[in-house]
Amino acid sequence: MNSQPLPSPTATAPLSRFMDRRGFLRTSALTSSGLYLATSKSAVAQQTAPGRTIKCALVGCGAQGNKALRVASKDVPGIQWVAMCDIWKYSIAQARGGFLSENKHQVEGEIKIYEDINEMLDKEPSIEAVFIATPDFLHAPYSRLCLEKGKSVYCEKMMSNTLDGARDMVRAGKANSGIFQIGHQRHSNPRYINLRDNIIKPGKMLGRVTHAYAQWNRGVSGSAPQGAVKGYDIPADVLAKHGYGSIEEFRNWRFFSKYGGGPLSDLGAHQIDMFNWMYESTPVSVIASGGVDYFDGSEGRPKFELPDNMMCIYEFKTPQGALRAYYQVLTTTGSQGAYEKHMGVGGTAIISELDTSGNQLYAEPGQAWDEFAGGENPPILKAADKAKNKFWEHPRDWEKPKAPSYGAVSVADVRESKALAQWELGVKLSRKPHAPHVQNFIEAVQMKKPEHLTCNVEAAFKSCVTVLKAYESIKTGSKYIFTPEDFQA
Amino acid sequence: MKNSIHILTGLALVITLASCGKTEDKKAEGAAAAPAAAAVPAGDLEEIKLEFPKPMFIGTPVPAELPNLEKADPSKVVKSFQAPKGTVNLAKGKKVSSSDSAPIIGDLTLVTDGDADGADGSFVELMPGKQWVQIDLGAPANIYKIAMWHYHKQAQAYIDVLVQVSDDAEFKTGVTTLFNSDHDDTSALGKGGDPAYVETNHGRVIDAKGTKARYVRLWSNGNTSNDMNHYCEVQVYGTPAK
Repeated sequence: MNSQPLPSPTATAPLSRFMDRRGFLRTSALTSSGLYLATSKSAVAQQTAPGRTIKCALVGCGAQGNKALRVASKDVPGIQWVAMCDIWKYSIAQARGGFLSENKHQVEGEIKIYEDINEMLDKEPSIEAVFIATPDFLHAPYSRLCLEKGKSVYCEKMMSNTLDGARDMVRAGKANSGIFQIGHQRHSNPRYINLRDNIIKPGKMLGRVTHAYAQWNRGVSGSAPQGAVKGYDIPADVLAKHGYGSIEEFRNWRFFSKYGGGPLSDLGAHQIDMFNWMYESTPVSVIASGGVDYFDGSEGRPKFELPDNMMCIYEFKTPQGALRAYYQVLTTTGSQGAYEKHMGVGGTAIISELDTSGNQLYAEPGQAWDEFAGGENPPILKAADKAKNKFWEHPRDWEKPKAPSYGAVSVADVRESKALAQWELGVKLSRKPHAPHVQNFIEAVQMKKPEHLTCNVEAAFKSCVTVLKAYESIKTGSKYIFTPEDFQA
Repeated sequence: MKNSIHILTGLALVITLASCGKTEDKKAEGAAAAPAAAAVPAGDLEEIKLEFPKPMFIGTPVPAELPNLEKADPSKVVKSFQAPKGTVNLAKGKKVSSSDSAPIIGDLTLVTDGDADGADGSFVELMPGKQWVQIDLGAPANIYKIAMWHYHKQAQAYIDVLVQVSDDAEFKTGVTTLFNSDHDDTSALGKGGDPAYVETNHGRVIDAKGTKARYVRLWSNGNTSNDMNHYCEVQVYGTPAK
């Protein structure tokens, strides 16, 4: 991976399609007028007033940049969007529509459009924070580029498709003064914080947690390969200039090691990161199995490089004892969707970013959880008698089980467990899942306080190692044993 | 997408489509009444079967909350209809204009290209707020049905949808409103009693009752997911006016 900033082209212009339409791009008259401080490390970047407006740019306006970050930012105070950057006019058009509508209150006059990040940074020195949501292989060079120009950076996960890239990001973060947040948004989600701090932490409700389980089953329909879009071709020279082999690789970059880390990185990174974050630990080993099971070029399907189905088992050594965590990401079935489950001797907690997909707690027999469901802002609430028993299936009423035959012998001659009492999380999130994390970043930028971040680059690096080393296990066909050095950037 | 027109030979059923389009002055003085709808000639009718694009719901549906939102009823989906012999999609390839002359995504030709698909590259996105697209049929026509597809890749309902026809390109005179889901007159075009509905790949077929007109104008004012306006396809089924 090239960790150097891409060279600025000699004659790249912002997208001319919009130049003469509604006057959406000013000419560079302002930029040559000298009316502003011509250094990105200007006084504005040194201000530390809470609540002040942060001028932001969005680099990478695709699914994550436009539909996740832009949308989530609309209710975050203190953001003023001044520029966006993407090589694909279709992504630009989609994002522009969003900035004209949902985010119009965060745009003054116009938002500038660029194809090249170097040109954007050169011509828009007022930018204080850059949101990077490009394909993974550009995270490291773009983060470094922005940080070295005095900007703060919110970079989407995974940090990088390579550990070298991720290490470079840590080094760039340490060498520069900008705030540097990585987009593991669960770290700022009050539901997850409540689960970790009030339910999972040692001495809390679940007791000793011995197992964790997480999955993201997306199904073929959600993983369908993307192709060219009528009317929005990208010239071959533009693709080549930005490092892409073809429009197919550009659209499906997540499945190629040159650009991304596969579904394990794309989807699994969020949830595997939760193993580390919930238990404030890093794994001691991982054994993984997976492969290109479906998108293998047969029966008319495209041929992708990185595994489309993967299963991993991580082992942790926590102060309470061993913890084993299973993770699977499947692109061939949507069965049971995406959620995480934490299983302790005192109870089990199931959570997902959407509370409709995961929001159940079960107390083991003998646990007195009523005390946690009282007072103001209780961490748990008593679940309604009529709950969704199987949240991954169609909602249906669930009748409380009859009194268990505890102590009796079942038909299978196996002693049954008593049915567990059901609860749910007492903390809700009524905003988009990314919104609290974006807000956390903006607050840190406003105050110039890196310690305010919930997911700094060092923490994210450990997750990046945890995820990418699963591929080592597949490559060698054996368990990978982590060393302390693995987690040092 | 190409519509298949199936002629049901031996069909003796005669259906007379009544003319009952609502003519409005559209707040313009001296507005002339719309031309009377042409009587449907007796004789054989043709069954016109609509060809639907594939369903494309993805992601998590945004709950559509509108006071006049109808409850979806798949049994009421119009998949074909009877129309006088010779009825075709007069809008195919015809010129489209809009209140937004420079759409956000796509271009106006997508409205009448015969492709109702909801995929990227198959729809036009217009600026936020109240916007219209207008189809010039090229000559007056007797219009029997209008089929329209807004963006149907997400389960969302479009707000204040109006479908109007006129022989006046400016829609100042002789305007007939065929569909109006603006229950509270937000658009200042008059209140309408038609329901809002969640878009699907089946679109929505509107009875134009044989109204004679050259221009078709469709309004919307954002949707339940965002403020934008979208069209995948509009098809106008009719015969040239005699």
